[in-house]
Amino acid sequence: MDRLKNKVVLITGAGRGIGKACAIKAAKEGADIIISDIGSNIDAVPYDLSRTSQLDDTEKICRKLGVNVLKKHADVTKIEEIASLVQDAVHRFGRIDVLINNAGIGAPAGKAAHNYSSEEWDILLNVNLSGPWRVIKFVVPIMIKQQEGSIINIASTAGLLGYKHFAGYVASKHGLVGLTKSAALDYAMDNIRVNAICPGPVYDDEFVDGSMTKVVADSLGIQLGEQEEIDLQSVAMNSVVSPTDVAEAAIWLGSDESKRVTGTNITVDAGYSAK
Amino acid sequence: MMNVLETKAVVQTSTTTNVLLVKKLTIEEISKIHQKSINQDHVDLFITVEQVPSPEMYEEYIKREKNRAIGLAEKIRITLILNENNATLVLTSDLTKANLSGLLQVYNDLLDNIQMIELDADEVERPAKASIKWGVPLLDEATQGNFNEYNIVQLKGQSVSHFALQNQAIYAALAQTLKLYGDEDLNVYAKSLTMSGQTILKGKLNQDGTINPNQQAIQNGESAGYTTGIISIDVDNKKFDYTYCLSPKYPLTCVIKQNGGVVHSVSLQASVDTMDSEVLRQFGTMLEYFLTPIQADSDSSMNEVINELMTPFGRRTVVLEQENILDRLEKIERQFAQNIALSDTQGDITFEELAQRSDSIATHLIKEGLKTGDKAVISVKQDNELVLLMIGVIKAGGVYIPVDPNYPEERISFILKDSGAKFFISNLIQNSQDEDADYITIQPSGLLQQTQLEPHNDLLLPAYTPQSGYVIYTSGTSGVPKGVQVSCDNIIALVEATQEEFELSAHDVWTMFHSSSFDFSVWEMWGSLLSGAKLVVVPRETATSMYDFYDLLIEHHVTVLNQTPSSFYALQNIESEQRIPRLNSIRLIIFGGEALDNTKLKKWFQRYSSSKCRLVNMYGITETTVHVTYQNIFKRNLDTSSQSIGVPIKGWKISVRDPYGVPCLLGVEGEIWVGGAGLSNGYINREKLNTEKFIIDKLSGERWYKSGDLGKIKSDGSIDYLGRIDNQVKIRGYRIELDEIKKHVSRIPGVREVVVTVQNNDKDEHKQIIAFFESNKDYSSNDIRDILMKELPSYMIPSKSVHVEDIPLTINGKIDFKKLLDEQNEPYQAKTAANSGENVLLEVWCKILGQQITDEDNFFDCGGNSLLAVSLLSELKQKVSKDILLRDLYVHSSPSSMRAFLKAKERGEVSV
Repeated sequence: MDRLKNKVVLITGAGRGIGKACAIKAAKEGADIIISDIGSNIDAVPYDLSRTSQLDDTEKICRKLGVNVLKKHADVTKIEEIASLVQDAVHRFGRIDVLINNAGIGAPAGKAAHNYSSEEWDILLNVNLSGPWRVIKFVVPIMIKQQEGSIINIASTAGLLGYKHFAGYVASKHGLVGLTKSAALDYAMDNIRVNAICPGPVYDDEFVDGSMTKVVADSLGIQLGEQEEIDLQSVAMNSVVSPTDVAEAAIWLGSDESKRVTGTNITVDAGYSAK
Repeated sequence: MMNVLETKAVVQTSTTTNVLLVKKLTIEEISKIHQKSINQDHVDLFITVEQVPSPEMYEEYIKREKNRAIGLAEKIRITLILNENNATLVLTSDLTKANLSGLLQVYNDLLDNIQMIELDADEVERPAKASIKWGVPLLDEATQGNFNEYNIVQLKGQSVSHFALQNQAIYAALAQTLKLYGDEDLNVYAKSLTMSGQTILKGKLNQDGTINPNQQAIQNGESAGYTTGIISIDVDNKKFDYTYCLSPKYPLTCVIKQNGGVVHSVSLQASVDTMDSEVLRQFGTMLEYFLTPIQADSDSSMNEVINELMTPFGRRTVVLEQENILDRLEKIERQFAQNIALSDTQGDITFEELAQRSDSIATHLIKEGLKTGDKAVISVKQDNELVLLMIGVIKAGGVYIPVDPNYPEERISFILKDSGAKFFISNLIQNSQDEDADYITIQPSGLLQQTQLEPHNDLLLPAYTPQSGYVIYTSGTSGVPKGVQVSCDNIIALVEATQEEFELSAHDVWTMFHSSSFDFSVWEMWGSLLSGAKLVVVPRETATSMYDFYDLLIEHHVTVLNQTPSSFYALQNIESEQRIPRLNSIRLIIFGGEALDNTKLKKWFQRYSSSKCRLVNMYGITETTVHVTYQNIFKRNLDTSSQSIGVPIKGWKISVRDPYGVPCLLGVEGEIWVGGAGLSNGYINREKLNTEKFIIDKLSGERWYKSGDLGKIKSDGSIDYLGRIDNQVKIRGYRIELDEIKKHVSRIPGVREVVVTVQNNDKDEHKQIIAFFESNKDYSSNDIRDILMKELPSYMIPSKSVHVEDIPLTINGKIDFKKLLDEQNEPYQAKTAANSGENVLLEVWCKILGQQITDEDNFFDCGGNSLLAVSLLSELKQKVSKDILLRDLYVHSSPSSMRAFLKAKERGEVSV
């Protein structure tokens, strides 16, 4: 249970879903954590983003696990908010060992590429691709000083394959996989590892307030149950992935167990992309 | 006898911060701090409030906060840890930002609303570099930060506070402990912290516990740095708990915690790079001994404590199941009768023939009058027959003394006389034979010829006697050779001790490469014979020509190779000239005879893996039967400057002792004593020397040999070899190991060979260390100084480092110190000395020999040896002709003779 002992982990998008699962898992492994989420909505995004109470809940669970928690709301599209998030984290803990770049949006989607509005296209790339880059921009100088660090970008199987009517999302996640590989080379000599995790269909786990399957179903104009059925049939293992499954991979990449792993992406998709 | 009932376990700490805990805050204090945390703009410090979710977790949260490094956080971190009933303020700082009074100031300011200004901080002292010699060696700074800790809270079963210890008494105990570790001239940095402020004392720590600030060692105008820090903390108030930062990291820090002047604990914190946990445990135990007032005056009881501590590290003597050498040989002779036992240029001899012929020699010798224990000097050329003669002497119950027939006549005469030999088996005629000499000269051919006949059964050979054996003459430092007499019991013990470890078997092929008068060959010969293997006896001409020897290894599929490191380096060079690896049959290489430099084995490991061919470094002494310890060498060891000679072979024992014969603690340098199965009978006719060197230990009654080598035992029981005691010099009070300086210089990239010596050795104040080095790169004396400054204390830096073309050797092949020192003001210039390019040969000769010679001078008379000959050859191949062979060099050893030879060859007058 001490795989991340004495480490400090920063997680974006920790209000719910995979981010929340990662925060809880990291706390269980003994890390001190900084959790962040937006705590408000964005106009161009057609669904509700994480509420402040959801991040409070993550904080409460982690504190019960006996670790120190720094909670701060931040929007990954706003560079000054990210700067201040990282600064506070260093004030509080003195270091950042692991960054889990998790914040992202699944929609707008559900249409062919040319049908996206300019605003819709921009927001997908701004949150899903430029967002992780902004956090890296401020966290990496800290890690260079430490000569140590692990950055984990939560991408998607959409970073490896195409999905019909999800061009914006797919493009942003492909971009994130590319950023991962280049950054891995940039910082290899500084002992900073950069890896991506590509989850396949993740079901909406109530424990962490998961909602992405609902977002996908809504985008395609079908029922949640129907989408769940489609997902189940698409994976090789005949059981879809849970947010905790993804968090397990993130913990491994964050721990010293993976100290020679960099520039790779790990698919956690129950065999979805193998077919 | 232990003084202590309770000590806390050794722990790792990695704190880099000063931490002040303020406990049991009042409601008023809490609200003030709380207010400021909401209004972060008021102070330039970041205040965090941690609300602990459950009361049980409260202490855990404080502990977590207390142990958190400050890392990249600025200035001081302030964390208020709250639960329903309790509040603790945790103030954390880097020592360069705030010390105890600085943190107290922050605490007061938080409550009083006064704007913070400058905080009291600690000055950063430079800790000393490698001047601590005990423990494990210091590694580079990057590994700093891990510390072993040893806590003393009780002495003799009672709380430390019971003893009313004063700081000075603790300092004195520390000084006495450090003295055991050889550190008498010790610079300490001692700081006392109290609520009202701090006092710092820096300087030499005296045995009575006072600190003499005026005697601080100064080198090159700067402070020598401190190896030991002493921190005494007296926070005279239960509300506060202060943890002092160890940084800068002293190799050793003693932390004394007091409350109102009463000592509650003394703990030692040592960098893992200086002392491992076992070394620290011993150190701590000795400190406890000196802290306990009553018995601290008796020396003998101190020795008892040391003895008890070191007992687990003295290897128990394994009783080897020993059959005698003759029974063993007979068994081998029968079991492997048709196997080849010996091979030389004349042919092979099977074990069956070996049995017959050596029996016959023995019979003959007995007929000539050889009695049990009689000595026979054997001086014949190195071949199968030499081996047969030696076995014959043993079978007859005698003692053989191998003497190289190329030795000067006087030396052979000396040995004959000194040893009291009864027989002289040789073709040599001793011209100067005294009329009254009482030895019988026997022609080897006479002994050997008769043995062509069928087995003799007319005379029974005597039963085995441990009086049989051999004598090897070694050069004494005084110049008079001394004979070491070794029993056959030791030979069989040596083979039994190593057989299993090295998997010696009848499938092996060994070489007898070394001269029979060098005891490395005793191991080669008996190791092979007593395991039923094939022994290839290498003629001296082949042994001195590494190219020929290389071919021999391939031709005979040799599996076990014994080499001195310097000849192996040459062999390795030849191997690397080959397009493909060709020494695939070798499975075991044993180094012996001189210190091995691991870093020079890189070429070998580029081609061969240690799983296919095992490399073993052995430390040995003629007086203790060839070998003593062994150490495997792996590829991963190549970059480390390991001095390890490993652990003793089965049945052999090592102890490291101080000049009074008391065992040294782990990590403490002392003389290597060797005991156990390998101890020889001593020197012939050197009663005084025997009593000096072979001694009976007062403590255990065991017999030991004092090796004159320096070493230290490490926690894993292995031994570091630190050079000869004679090679230690004292300059301006510092004890300096020239070998250690040499090791550091030779690690500089491009540097090939290094000699370190002392100039003006007679006058202490003018003594200077000078390093001479051969190098591919053009380093100046200052370059060398700059590199060494990073690794060595300044008193070990050579005052001058001289780049030389080649290090000159004397006729005996040893380093010519006189020439080096004489020529350092006018170094030999290769380019100008051999004036024109016309005489290329002379130029090459001069370059390799490192001195000016004439056209007629013989290479081997001017300091050339077989190893230099390899260098000369490769130089000639590059510059003159590819067709020159090594054997040509032995025939045409002067530049003029070589020139004539080459001209003749050009004209076709010489057939190749």
